[in-house]
Amino acid sequence: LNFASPGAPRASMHSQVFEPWIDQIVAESEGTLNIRTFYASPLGNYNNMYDRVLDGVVDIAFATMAPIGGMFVQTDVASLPFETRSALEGSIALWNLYEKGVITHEFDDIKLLGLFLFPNSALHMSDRSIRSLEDFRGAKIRTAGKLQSDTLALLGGSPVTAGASEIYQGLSRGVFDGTIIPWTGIAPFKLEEVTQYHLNAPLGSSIAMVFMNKDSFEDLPTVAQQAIERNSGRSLTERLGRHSDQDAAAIEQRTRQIEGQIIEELDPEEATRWRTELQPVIDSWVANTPNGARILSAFREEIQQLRSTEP
Amino acid sequence: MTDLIDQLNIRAARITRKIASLGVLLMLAIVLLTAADVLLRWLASASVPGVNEIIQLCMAVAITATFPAGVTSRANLTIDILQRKVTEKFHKNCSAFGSLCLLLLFGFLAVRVGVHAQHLSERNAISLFLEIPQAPFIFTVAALLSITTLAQFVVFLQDMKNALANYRELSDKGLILVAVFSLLAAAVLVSILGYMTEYFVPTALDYAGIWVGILFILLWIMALGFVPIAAATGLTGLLGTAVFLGNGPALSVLGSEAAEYLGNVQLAVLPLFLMMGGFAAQAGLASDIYKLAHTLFAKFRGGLAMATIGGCAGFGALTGSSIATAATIGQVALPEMRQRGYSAGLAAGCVAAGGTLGQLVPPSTAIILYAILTEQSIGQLFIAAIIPALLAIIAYMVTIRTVVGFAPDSAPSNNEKTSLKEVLQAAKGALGVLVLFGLVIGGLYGGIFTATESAAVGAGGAFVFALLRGKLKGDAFWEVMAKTTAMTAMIFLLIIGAVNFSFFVAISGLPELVTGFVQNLDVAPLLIIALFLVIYILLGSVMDPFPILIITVPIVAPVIADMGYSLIWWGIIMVCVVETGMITPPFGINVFVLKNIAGGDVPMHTVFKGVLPFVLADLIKLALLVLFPALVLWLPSTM
Ligand code: NA
Ligand code: NA
Repeated sequence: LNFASPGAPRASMHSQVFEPWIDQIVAESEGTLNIRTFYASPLGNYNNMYDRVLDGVVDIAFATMAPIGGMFVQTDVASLPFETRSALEGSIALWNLYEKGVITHEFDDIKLLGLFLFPNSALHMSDRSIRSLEDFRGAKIRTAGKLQSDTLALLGGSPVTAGASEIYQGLSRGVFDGTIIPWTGIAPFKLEEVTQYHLNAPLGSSIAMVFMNKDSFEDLPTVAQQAIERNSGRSLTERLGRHSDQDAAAIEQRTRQIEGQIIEELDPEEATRWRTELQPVIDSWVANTPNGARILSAFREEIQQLRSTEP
Repeated sequence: MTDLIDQLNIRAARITRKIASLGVLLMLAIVLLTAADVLLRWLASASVPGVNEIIQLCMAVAITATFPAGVTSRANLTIDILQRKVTEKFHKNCSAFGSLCLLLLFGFLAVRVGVHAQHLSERNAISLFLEIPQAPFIFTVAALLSITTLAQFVVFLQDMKNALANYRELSDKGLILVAVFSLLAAAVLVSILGYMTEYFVPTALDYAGIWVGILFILLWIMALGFVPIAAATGLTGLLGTAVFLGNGPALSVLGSEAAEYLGNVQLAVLPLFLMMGGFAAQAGLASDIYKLAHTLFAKFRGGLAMATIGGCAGFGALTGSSIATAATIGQVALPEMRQRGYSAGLAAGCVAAGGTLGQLVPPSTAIILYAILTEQSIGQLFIAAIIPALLAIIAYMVTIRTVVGFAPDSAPSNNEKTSLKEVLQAAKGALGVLVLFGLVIGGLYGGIFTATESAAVGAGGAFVFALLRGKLKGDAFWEVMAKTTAMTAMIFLLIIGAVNFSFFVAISGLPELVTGFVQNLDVAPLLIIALFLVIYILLGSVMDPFPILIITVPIVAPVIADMGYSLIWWGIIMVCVVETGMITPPFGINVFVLKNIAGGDVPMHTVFKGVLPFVLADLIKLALLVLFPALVLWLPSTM
């Protein structure tokens, strides 16, 4: 089998989550499995990984949902702003929705192994801070997709489109004043060099999954299938969610120690105002999603339950 | 009785030209849309989100629309080193076989891109921002590829006719029968191969080295046997991927990679820069820049030769092709130098060498190709090329001084004096070139434009110049466009072949194998670089830059990166070294171009002799760039 991830070869997720995970599966498969890993681009990129798995080019893969336009509308519930506090709770809640069959049919074509969120996107600005809605006026901010653009526009900023690799240059030249991106995206692109004011606000998350070609799975001997299933699902989801929170916290901590960096939390009163402004984003998601209202309330219930059981 | 196959050819040419015209108009529309977006952003500091999604989808259609015409005009890159070593009959047979290979590739592409479009349609794939459905565009691409397949069948008929002409009198209908029969035979062969690959898949990885060896030999046999490079790399890549992953996945990769690269925003710069060069030449900007260089250098001995280098550099800033530069400047400069008493060797030598500045001075198609193969930034590579290009210009000028010093009779001694007024007048004449170059490269360096935008602005600007100077009357516009479409079709076909070939190379594990081997060698990295360069100079003596890049970069770039060198730096080194190949014997295209312009009274060896000092200059420049990487890397680091 081959496992492919479009992420950079040295990404911490590879060494800290995927590699131990694969080693464990291979060890438990009693010699029936041999998994070859491919990092970065050879087998596929973020845009085509889903098709690559469907067509059997790749057997197991990690991919983000956003570039697979039009496919995972119900799953997108977890990407909405102001719904989750951590990647971990969002990941588990989403997995529960999938397991309980609240999200229907979206994963029918593949064998889903794990489902997780990146931490909430925060605001990272170069030379002006944003604390309140008023601060958004005239701020050009880079966004990554339609949901982020809509979010930003409702808050009063002007969204600018740019690829992830263009953020550094765009910020250093003032093409835009800031970007919406989770902390996990700061380190790989060295954005701490070109940003100074950071605001932790739950502006929505991007969703990713680990999944497998159905036929590749079914062709495996039972012992191999069991090895994969034992290590996947909720346990992998939890591992990924936890890792992504830890990764973000570590990068935030590192940035905090750099002189001149200012990291703030969104004021609770402001948060209420922002939430009110962003209601149209939620409403439009509900309106455009089959069974949207039910999925959203189920997702919120899951989150509540998780928060009440955790200390 | 009228000749059936000839008639088919004429009809195919007429229809495909119409399709290409539509594609070209779509490209022009994209140029205007992009330019408008840039202006809007500049004036109103607002931007239309998702413009690149429109460009992406429309460009895929526009580029594929040039394929049928590219096929009927036989715009293929083929390695023809062995052409003079084989009989004419053998060559014709090989050409017919090459045509058949290309036909197979197009057939596969048409079907698989169609299947890819079907997938997109089934899952309602939409673009990220504007949420445009993608399937209709990709279906259109598949339809255009089907038309290309038909057009290639007509070409194949013609090649069969040429190949069988000497046998016996076959009627055209008989020929068509033979062609269809050989197509069926090819289909049977492909099916057998398909069965065999499925059998090899489970064990392929255990024998990876052997498979890679077999496929490389196959590639070389095809390439040296006059099979177009695109077909040789595309089919070898397909077969190799099938051996490692199975037939279904291999075909799926072929279709989705083709669709993806046709709609690659980065690659959209290619046709746009080609268009810019075409309009710039049509507008007469080449002779403007040459005149300016002439007034600047006239007072030196050998001044006209220096002016030629200056002219090449200036025109190189508007075009991305070294052949175009050598040919365009050559037509102006060569007669002028010969008339003023320059030796044939120096005159032809400096144009041939100056032509390589067409690639080294940005924009550059070779750099774009390298950027795509290694996923590096086109913009950074362009900026990185500036200092090496300046170095090349200086090295060529010094070479001319030295040659004139050692062989005084190679250039006339009567120096001309030019007044400041004349210089200013010439500068005013060349203002167009300066403005265009300033916009394209300045905008890119200053971060005002992305690479795509600067290409659109350049193409739009050159178009406006040609239009204002009244140079686009009558058929002129369509002639420029026909050249652009032929080059576009050729290069994109090469890229489709190349990405499939590199996909196979990547999954075969060969790069890891070579990297491991080099690590085990335990010699200084610099020595390994030197070894690579010697190999490249040898390859360059017999091969074109593009095939060298396509075949070697997927293997060599990982080794370079693994040794800790910058891939931006290596890109510039690669372009320098393969461009030197354009002027080294026995096979140097620029030299052939010059030989063509110079006509019968200048023998080939005179041109090669004349170009030799410039080859030396190239080698010195190369050594400097290798020893002092900062010459390449400093400028992009200030971006
Ligand atoms: Na150029
Ligand atoms: Na050569």
